[in-house]
Amino acid sequence: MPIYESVMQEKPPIVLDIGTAYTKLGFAAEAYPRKIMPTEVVMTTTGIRKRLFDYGTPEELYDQLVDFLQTIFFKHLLVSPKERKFVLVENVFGPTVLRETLARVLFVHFDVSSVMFVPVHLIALSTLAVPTALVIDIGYSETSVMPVFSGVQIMGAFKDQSYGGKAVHAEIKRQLVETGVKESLLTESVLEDIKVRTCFVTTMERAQARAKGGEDQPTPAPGVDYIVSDNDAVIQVPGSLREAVYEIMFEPSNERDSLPHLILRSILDCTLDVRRALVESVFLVGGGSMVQGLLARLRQELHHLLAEDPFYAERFHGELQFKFFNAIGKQNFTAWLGGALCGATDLIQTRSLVKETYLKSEHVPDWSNLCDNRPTGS
Amino acid sequence: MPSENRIKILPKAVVCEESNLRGDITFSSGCVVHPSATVIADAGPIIIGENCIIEEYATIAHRLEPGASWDVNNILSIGNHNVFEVGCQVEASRIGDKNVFESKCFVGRGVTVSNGCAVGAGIKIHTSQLLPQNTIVYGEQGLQREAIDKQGSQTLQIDFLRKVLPNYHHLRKPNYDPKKARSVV
Amino acid sequence: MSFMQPSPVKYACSCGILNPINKLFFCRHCPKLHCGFCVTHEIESHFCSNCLENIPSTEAKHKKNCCANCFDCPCCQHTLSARASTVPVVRKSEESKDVKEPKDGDSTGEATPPVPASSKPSAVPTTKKMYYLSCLSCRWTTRDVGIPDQGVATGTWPDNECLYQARFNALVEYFQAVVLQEKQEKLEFMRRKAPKQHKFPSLTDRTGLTVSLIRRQIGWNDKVPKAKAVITPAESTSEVEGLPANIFTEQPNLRNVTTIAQRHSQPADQPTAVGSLYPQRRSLWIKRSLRCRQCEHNLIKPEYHPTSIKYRIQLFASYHVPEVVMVRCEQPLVPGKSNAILLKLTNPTMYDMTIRLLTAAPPEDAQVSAETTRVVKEEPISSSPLLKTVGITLSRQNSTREVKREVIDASNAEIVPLESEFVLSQRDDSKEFDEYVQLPTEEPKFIVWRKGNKVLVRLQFTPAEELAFGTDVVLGFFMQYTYVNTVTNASEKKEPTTHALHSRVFITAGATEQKAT
Repeated sequence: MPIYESVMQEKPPIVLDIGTAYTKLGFAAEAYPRKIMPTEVVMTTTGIRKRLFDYGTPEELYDQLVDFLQTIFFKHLLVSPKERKFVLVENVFGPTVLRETLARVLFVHFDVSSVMFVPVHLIALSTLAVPTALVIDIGYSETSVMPVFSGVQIMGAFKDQSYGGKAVHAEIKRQLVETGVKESLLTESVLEDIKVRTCFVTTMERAQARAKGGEDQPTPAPGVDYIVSDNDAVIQVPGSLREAVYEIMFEPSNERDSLPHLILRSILDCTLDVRRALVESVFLVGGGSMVQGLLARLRQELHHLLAEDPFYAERFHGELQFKFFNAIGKQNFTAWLGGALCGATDLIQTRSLVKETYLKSEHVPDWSNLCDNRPTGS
Repeated sequence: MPSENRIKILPKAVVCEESNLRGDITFSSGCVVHPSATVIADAGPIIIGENCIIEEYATIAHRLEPGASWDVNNILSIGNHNVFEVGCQVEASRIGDKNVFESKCFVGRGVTVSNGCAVGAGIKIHTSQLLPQNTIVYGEQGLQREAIDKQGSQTLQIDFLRKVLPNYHHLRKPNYDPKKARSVV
Repeated sequence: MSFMQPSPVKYACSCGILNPINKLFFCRHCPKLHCGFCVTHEIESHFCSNCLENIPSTEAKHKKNCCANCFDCPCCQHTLSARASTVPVVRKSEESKDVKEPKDGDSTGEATPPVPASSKPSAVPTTKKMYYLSCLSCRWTTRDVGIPDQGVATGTWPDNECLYQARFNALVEYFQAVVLQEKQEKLEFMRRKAPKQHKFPSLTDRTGLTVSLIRRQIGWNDKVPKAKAVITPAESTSEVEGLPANIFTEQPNLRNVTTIAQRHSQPADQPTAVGSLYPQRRSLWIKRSLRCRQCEHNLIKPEYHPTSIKYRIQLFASYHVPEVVMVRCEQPLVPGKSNAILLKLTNPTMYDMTIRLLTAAPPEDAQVSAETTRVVKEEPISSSPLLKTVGITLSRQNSTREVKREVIDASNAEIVPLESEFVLSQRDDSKEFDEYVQLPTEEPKFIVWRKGNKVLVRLQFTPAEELAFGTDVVLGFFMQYTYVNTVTNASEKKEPTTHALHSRVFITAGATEQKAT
């Protein structure tokens, strides 16, 4: 904790990063979030626990958000939200209804003083103090790639795909059901536990050898007995599953949409002058990127594609070395950390959306909305 | 099913009169068996190691498999320094040394318990598995964890019980076993 | 009435949401029902749930809302308790401490009688109690991680530090400097571009002398030399960590790998091995007070002390609003067939209450509406235009702009309203033990029995014809009751006034039994 605290910020702003699976919450100017909790809400009417973003109508989302934020404020952060400033880390390409509902909940129901929305990819870079990088966010529902050059996001080169934690869980389930495990045993938490504790990303040579089939396969990693004690059963997790589950991110396909392809295509969509700088600054954030062996495999795959794939070989020239950044802290809250850094500065005064402004129009300024981006507008 | 009970109590073992014992059971020296403890040796003899504590309403059973009968070679050997707390039900096929079975736990037949394990209170283990050394089973979902630190020894408790139990309960007299059968693992 | 199952009787709150009566509060000043959704929650006090110690809020903020003495087990998140082990301390020249085998196993954790020292005959053997933390449910101890035993039970347990704290602080300072720099540059730019037009001519205009000119002449430039904000940016490297070699050969020991919940409980390092889990300080809990949004009066105010469960102000709805409990339906529910339901009503107040059950909303009580409009019109008084532009107003404004929802009228049965109103006598605890005396008064026909402040009423209704099999039959009606307002305003000394308030009640009577033929 910093020894001095600036006088004008007696109450540090609250920084929230509400992801699809986990929410990171804490205060600005702190080096790690106070809590990382699952984004689930217990319905006060029925008592069942469900994911926050499973909703039917926007009104239902509103009520669920109220319940969710209520637990965050009064059970975890232990502060009253009234008259406090907020920093919300969000995905610029996320659904607008989420943004609008969140703003409405905060301003109308909880009466906060100001909210600042920061984009994930840009703010994650601030933890490195580097202005240029290719930021890859591997989350639960999707993976998104966004190049940032000199502090500006190159929106045209944004790429995303729907493989993330959820897809890995589905793959584990599919493979286990094939080996004969009962499907009712494989709940979400069991799958997540298997993924986190046993799986890893294997090397390219082994993956290719396995894909080729044949007798020359390397011996798989040893399997593991996973004990599910709720139903008192033992699931045999074969070693091949441990290695092969993350291959969904590296599957070669004609559409060129596996992870290394996304990266290369995104770089190609940028203009020529920024490409070299981006190649030498690749930054992975997000919970899904904490898996063992991902960086090494990614590097191998990228170099392999540059050399072998004609589509890329003729577009990339020169001696290219892919270089990666190491995040400070853990990758699953790097975006939150960026938000905390931002909230510690004066930007919170100048750039946030203040309550009065919001209540006049009941609308959050959005980059995609022309009304907010007119050059002659007020 | 044995028709008579053959219970061998070695010297220094404290076995209360009110405990329910059935079958061929050997209590090694230093054991303490509380009243209302139950030891059932249906499928074969049970040999309980030294300095074991079997508390009230604990059940140690060597059950018959369906279709099998009493076999004198089917010995359930329980190691030394084990603690069976109140209300636990242990039907494991083999138990090592220095384990703790907390209150109201249930350990099924297929489970083999090695040394230094602790099964938490209320946990039911049905699946056949081998509990490796120093495993602690805890929590609502029966998670397992390897203990890095050894379990504390119970010598203090055993000494206290040996002094106090005879004051309040009738004991079964130890009958010397000249062969001095030790616990065989 | 069981509180484990959801109650079938729901009241409509003033914000439109239906709630059972145990979740509602009653504001005496704007006599309306409120629920947890439409009141403001405020934090009253912090306390630790384990040691029940009250912690002032400034200290709580300083300590990051964690208790100083209590720790949570990182393995199973239960509370850790300190256990003692005796260590004989040998004085004299060697000053060696022998750590003997810990003699625990006692639930009290008390020390054993002193054990004689090992070998030094000249030393006076004393024992010292060394404490370690252990979890009672999963048997995790601080010795598992390698934390040395402490001499004092509380207060000296080390906190694991954040490894990158220094780098983070450097980043914070850098960005603060950068943003400040940008702001100043922008101000300079604005100043240069649009110099302020003064209303009055200043001295320097005529002579052309300005402060900045003089400064430049002397040789000073710029008020304060700005420190250039510098930071070493992170470096990207092509050396990436590969897989450890033994991952393909070694069987993972799942018992030593942490689960996600264990990792998240230590957000800073999120260790993967159980051997690096550190005990975390226990998080504090709060006591909340609730406040009505319209009239800003407190509805609930708890006692300050953590061990006390009483309230200083307790305006629960069940103390003011008559409680409706469904007893039973007389016949099985069939769509289209007329049926009757027995309801038990209770009067919780100290005054007699007159109740009517209606199917349509009764006209608003004039007195009540006048009072509410008076409260709402509390406009910000004496706020100057200057303050208004800045955004500060001197008196409090309405703190909500929540849109009131329309009460969803889900009733699907027709009710025969009761012919007349009836009186519920006041709550009198002394009458509870008196013998039941049948009063020879004329009772309306729908009252089945009456005792004290309770009455059992028979209400006739008919479920709608078109209901499918198995749907819940919902009855909705307005209950109008007289309420004696005991709030005395400071300005006038009034007699307690009587209002006729009404609430909308919805009762889920159960599922229909037979298919309608």
